[in-house]
Amino acid sequence: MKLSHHWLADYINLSAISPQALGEALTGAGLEVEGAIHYTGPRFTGVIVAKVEALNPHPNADKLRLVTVNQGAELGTTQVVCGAPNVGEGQFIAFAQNGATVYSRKTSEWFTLTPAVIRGIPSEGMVCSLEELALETQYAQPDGGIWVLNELVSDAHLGQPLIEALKLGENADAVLETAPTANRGDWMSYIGMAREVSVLFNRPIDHPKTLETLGVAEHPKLKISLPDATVCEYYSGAVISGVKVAPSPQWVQQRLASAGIRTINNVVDVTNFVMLELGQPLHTFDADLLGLTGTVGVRLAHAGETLACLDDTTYTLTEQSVVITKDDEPVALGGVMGGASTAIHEGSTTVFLEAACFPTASTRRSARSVGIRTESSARFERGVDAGSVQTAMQRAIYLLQEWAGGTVVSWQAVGKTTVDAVTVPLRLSRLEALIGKPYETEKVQQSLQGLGFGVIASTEGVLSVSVPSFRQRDVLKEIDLIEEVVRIDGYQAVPESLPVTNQTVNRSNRQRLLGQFRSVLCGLGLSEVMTTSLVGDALLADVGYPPDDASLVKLSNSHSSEHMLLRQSVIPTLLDVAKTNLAYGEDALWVYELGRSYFKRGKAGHKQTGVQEKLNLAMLIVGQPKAIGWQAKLATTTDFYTLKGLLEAFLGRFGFSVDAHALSFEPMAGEAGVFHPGRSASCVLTDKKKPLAVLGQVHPSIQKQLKSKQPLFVLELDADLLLKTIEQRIATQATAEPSIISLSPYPAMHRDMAFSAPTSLSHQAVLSFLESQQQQVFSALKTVQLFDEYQGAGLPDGHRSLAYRFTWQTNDRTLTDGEVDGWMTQLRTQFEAQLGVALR
Amino acid sequence: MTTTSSLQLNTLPTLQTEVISQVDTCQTIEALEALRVDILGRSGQLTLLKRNLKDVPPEDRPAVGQALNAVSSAIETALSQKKTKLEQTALTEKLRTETIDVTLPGSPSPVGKRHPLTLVIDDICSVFEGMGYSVLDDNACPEVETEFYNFEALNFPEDHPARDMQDTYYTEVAKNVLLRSQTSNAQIRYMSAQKTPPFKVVAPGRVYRNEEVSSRKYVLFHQIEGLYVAENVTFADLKGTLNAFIAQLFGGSARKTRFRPSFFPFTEPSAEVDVECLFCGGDGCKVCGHSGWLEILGAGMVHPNVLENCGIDSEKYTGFAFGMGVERLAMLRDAIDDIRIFYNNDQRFLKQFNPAY
Repeated sequence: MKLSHHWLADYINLSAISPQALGEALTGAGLEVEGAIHYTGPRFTGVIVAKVEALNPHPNADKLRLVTVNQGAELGTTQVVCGAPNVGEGQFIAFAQNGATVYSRKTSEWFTLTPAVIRGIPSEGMVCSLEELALETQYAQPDGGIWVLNELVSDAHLGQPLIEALKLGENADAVLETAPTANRGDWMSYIGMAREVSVLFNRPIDHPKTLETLGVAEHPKLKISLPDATVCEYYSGAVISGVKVAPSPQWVQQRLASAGIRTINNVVDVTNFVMLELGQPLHTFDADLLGLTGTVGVRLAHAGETLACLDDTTYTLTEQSVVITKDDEPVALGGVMGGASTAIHEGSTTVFLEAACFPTASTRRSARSVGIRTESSARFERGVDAGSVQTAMQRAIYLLQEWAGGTVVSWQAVGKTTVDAVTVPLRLSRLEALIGKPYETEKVQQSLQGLGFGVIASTEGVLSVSVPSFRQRDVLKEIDLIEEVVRIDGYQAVPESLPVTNQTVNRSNRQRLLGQFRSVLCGLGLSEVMTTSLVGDALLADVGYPPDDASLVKLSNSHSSEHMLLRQSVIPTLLDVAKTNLAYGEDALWVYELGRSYFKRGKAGHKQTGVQEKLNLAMLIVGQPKAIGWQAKLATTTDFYTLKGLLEAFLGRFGFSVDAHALSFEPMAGEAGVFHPGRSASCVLTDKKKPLAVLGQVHPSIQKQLKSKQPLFVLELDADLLLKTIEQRIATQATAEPSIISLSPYPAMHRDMAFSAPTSLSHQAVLSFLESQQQQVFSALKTVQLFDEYQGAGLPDGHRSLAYRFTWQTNDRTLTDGEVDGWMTQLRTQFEAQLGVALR
Repeated sequence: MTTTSSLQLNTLPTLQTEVISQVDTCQTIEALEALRVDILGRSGQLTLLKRNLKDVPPEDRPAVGQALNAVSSAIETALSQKKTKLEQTALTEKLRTETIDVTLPGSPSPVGKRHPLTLVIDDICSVFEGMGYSVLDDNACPEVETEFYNFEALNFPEDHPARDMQDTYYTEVAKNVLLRSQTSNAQIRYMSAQKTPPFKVVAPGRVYRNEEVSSRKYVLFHQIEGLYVAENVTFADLKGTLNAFIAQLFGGSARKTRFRPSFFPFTEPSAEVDVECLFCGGDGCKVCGHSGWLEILGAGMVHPNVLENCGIDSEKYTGFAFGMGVERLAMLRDAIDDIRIFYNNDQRFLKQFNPAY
C-alpha cells in the first residue's frame, strides 16, 4: 500500500521523522517498505522557465525541429533540437540547461544533461516533458509531447528556476511503498500504520472526525436481510439525501492520486478515502436506481447468474460469488465491486451507503470465482476490523456532508454488532526462553499497550492481555503476543548464539552414491545439466515422445502451454538441450542429468498424491569432444558403442558388468519410440530381472527435427533401482565374509579363434554358449574376449566374422601347449556342431 | 722356457697401459668392440698369452697367472666403463634428435562440468553439515504434494490470502494435489515420521511457482529448507546460525546482515534476512532496489501449531526453520542477471563454473 508522509501526518505528528526514518522504522517492525521512496517534490535541477521564440525545420531530419529558446533577458537565446510534435511558437516551456539533472524513462534513472549533436546540429539543453521532470502525477500534458506552461507562468518568470516559478518546493510529499503481510489487514489503512508509528516513536494518534452519533431511524420502506453469517457477518446501510455530485476538493484528489486511486467524484471518493484511512471498504449506490422500497440482501450467487460491474465488465457468477441483492436481484459483488446498474452518476442526489463485514474466506472465494482482486476484496480477505465498521460509516457520512452537502436520513444494521472480548495469557518466562534474551515486564507492557492491547492483569510473571478488535484476526495465541513484543523491541536487540552441536551428521549411502555418480560421470567426460520438469505438448511432439496419458500428471492452472505437464522422461528435455547447443554451433555435446520423472499411479487422498516420482539418470551424447584440434584424426567417431561404453564404465565403477553377469543387454523390444529401431537396447539388471536402462541412437527423423548433422545417442537409467541395488549390496557386504578371489601364480595361455556366422547370431549368444561349455568342460577357460568384428568382402551375405581371444589358466599348475591346443580343438568342434559356424 | 715367463712379466704393465690408453681414445662402440676382440677375443693378445701359460715353468705359473688376470680384469673394467660412457653419449645424441614441441596442445581428455546449481546446493549443505545438520535424501519429499503438507499442516488457514503468497500450480490428479510451492513440506514429513526431537536437518529440493517467465522468475526453482528442533532452541540461536552461514557462504564476517520481522504462517516470530548489497556495498543500486539490502532468506521459530500438527510437544520443544532460494543465492554470488540461463544449459555458460573443491 502506498503511504503518503503528508497524509499519515493527519493522524500522527511526524515532525522530525523524515520519510527515510519512517521507512526504516516500519521495515524494522515488519511492515516492509519496498524500493526507493518516491518524492512528489521536484528532484530535477537546472530547469528554468523559457519561451519558444522561433521554430525552424531541421536540415537533416523531418521529425526534428530547431527551437530558438528565449531564456530571459539575462541569459539570452539559445537553439536546441526538439522532436516533440506539440512544440509551438510563443509557448512557455520548462527548459533544462546544460548540467541539469533530469529523468530518463528509458533507463529509469536521473541523469546529467550534456551538450549533444543531433543529426549534425549542436543542441545545448532540452525542452522537457513532464516525465523528464517526474511531475506527471501533479500536472497533465498530451502523450509524447513537451510540457506547455502557458497557463502557469508569464513573461515575468522567464529565466527563473521552474521550482521557484511554480512554487514546487513547497508542500512536497514523500510516498513509501509498503508491503503489508498477509496476516495484517490492519496495515492496509492509514490508521493501522499510524498505530505502528505511534508505538515506535511514542506519539499519540489523532483519530479522524466522524459524525458523532447515528441517531436516525431505520428507513421505513427498506429492509435488510442477512440469512447467513458465513457469507456476511454484518451489513449496515444509511440513506443520505440532498447530495450534489461534483469533483472532490483538490487536496482529496491529490491524496487519492498519491495512493494510486483514480478520483471519480466526491461521493465515490469518500468511500475510497475512508477505506484508505480506516481500512473499511464501503460502497455507495444511487438510491433512486437501487430503489428504497423492498429488501437489500446478501447471498451466494446462482451458478450462471451475471452481473455488470463498475469496471464495465459483465461477470458470470458461480455458487461461490457473494452478491448484494435488491429484492433478490444482484446489484453488487459483495466486498469485491459495485454493480453498474446502481452506480453513482453526475445527477445522483440520494445515496445508499453500505458498510459491511464480509468474512475473509468467503471474500477470497468470491473474488476468485470471478478472477479479480480489488482494493476492497484485498482488505476483506485479510480481515477488516469488525469493531470499526460503524466508525467508518460515521466517518463517511461526515465527509459526505462536508464534501457533497448531504444529510443522513436513515440508518439500519443487521448482524453481529458487538466484538467478543479476547484474552490471551503471556508468560514472560516463555518469552525469554524462546527468544534467548531477558525482557523487562514494564517494557513488554508498554509495547503491547502502545499497539492497542490491554494488559488487564499481571500475576507471577504472567500477563493477561486483551486483544483489540483490529488485531483479533492475527493475535490468537501466546506466540502471537511474543512476536509483537520482539518485533517492537527490534530484532537487532536479540543477541546471537551458535548452538553447540551434539548431533552426528549422517550422510546416507544414497547421498554418497549420488555424489559419486556425479563425479564418475564428469570424469567420463559428461557435463551435468538441469532441465525443466514442466513440459508442453509441443516439445514432446517435436522430439517424438508422446506422453503416456494414463499416468500423465497435468497441471490445471498453468499460465503457459510450455509448462502444462510433468515429464515422464528426462530424454525430451535433454534433446531440447542438444537442439539449443547445436544451434549455438557446438559440435560435440556430452551431457547427463539426474532428474525426476512423474507418474500417476494410485488414488489421491488427503495426504496421498497418488503420484510416483522417480529419479532417472539420462545421458545424451552427440559428436566427439576429443575430436578437436590437431589430434582430431586420432579420435574415434561417436556411435552406439561409445554410449554403451560410457554406461558400462559408469556401472562398472559400481561393480556391475556383463562379465560379472550383473548386466545383460538385449535388443529393444516393442516400439522403439525415440530410438533407431535397429540401434537401441535395454540393459537388464540380472539379479532383479528388471530393466535398468534403455539406450540407443536417436531416430533419424528426430535427428532431422533437431537439425543435427550428426547422430545423437541417448540413454535413460532408473537411478532409484540402481541406488537401491547398490544400497542392498552395501548392507549385505557389511555382514558377509570377505570374498576376494585368490590369484594364480602360474602363467596364462592365449589362443585366438575366428569364425564366420550369420549376423543373427549375437555376441551374447556366443558368450552364453561358451559359458555353458566353461562350466561343464573347460574349467581352465578364464576369459573370452571379442577382438574383432568384420562384415564385408569375403563373407557370404548376412554373415559376419567374429574373432575371440581365449585365455586359459589354472591356480595349481602351469598348463602345457598340448592340453590347451587339445581344448581349443574340442571347442572348435563344439562351435561347428552346435552353433553352425564356419571356422576361418 | 724361462724366456716366456720373464718376457710376459716385463711386458704386461706396458701392455696394460697401452690398451687402456687405446680404450680411452675409442670414439665409437664399434671401435671399442674391435679393440676388445683384439685384446680379449679368441685370438686376442691377452688370450694368446693366457693360452701360453701352460709353457711357463710350474714354479712361475701362479705369479704369471695372477699378473695376467690382474691385467685382464683392469682392461675389462676399462672397456666396460668406456662402453657405458659411449652408450650414454649415443643415447643423449639420439634423444636430442627426438625433441618435440611441448607447447603443442595435449590430446583432449574431456572432463565434464557440474551444473552450477548442484554445486551451490553442495556448498550450502556442506556449511550446514559443518554445523551438525544432516542432509535429507533427495527422495525424502515429493514435489507433487497435497494441500495438507504444502499448506494445512504448515498452519496456512483454508481460504486465507497467505495461500496466495506463492502462486501455486494445481494438478488435474485431484483438487488438493499441487506442485509444492516451498520445501517446507519437508518439515512436516520429517517431523511426523521422526516424532522425537532433536531434529537438525537441511532439505534441498525443487519447488514450483505459477509465474510468467522473466529474467527474475522461472516456473520452478530450488530451495534449501533447514530445521532445528530441540529443547531450549532460541531465536538468538537462529540469528547466530544464519549469520555464521552467511559469513561462510559469502565470505567475510564483516558483511552486515539485517533481520526484519515478516510473516510466514509456519513460523513465529518470523524474519526475513537481508545481507548488505553485494553490488553496491549498501549505498543503493538497481540490484537492491536502492535499499542497500538484498533479501536472501526467510526464517523463524517453528510455529507451535506446526509442531503440534506433527505430534510434537510445543511446550517441551522449540526450534527454528529457514528457507532460501538456491538460484537467487547463485545469481547474487556469481553476478548472474537472468534466472533462465540455469535451465537453458548453454554449454558456453555452464563451462564457466569451476568448483574450488
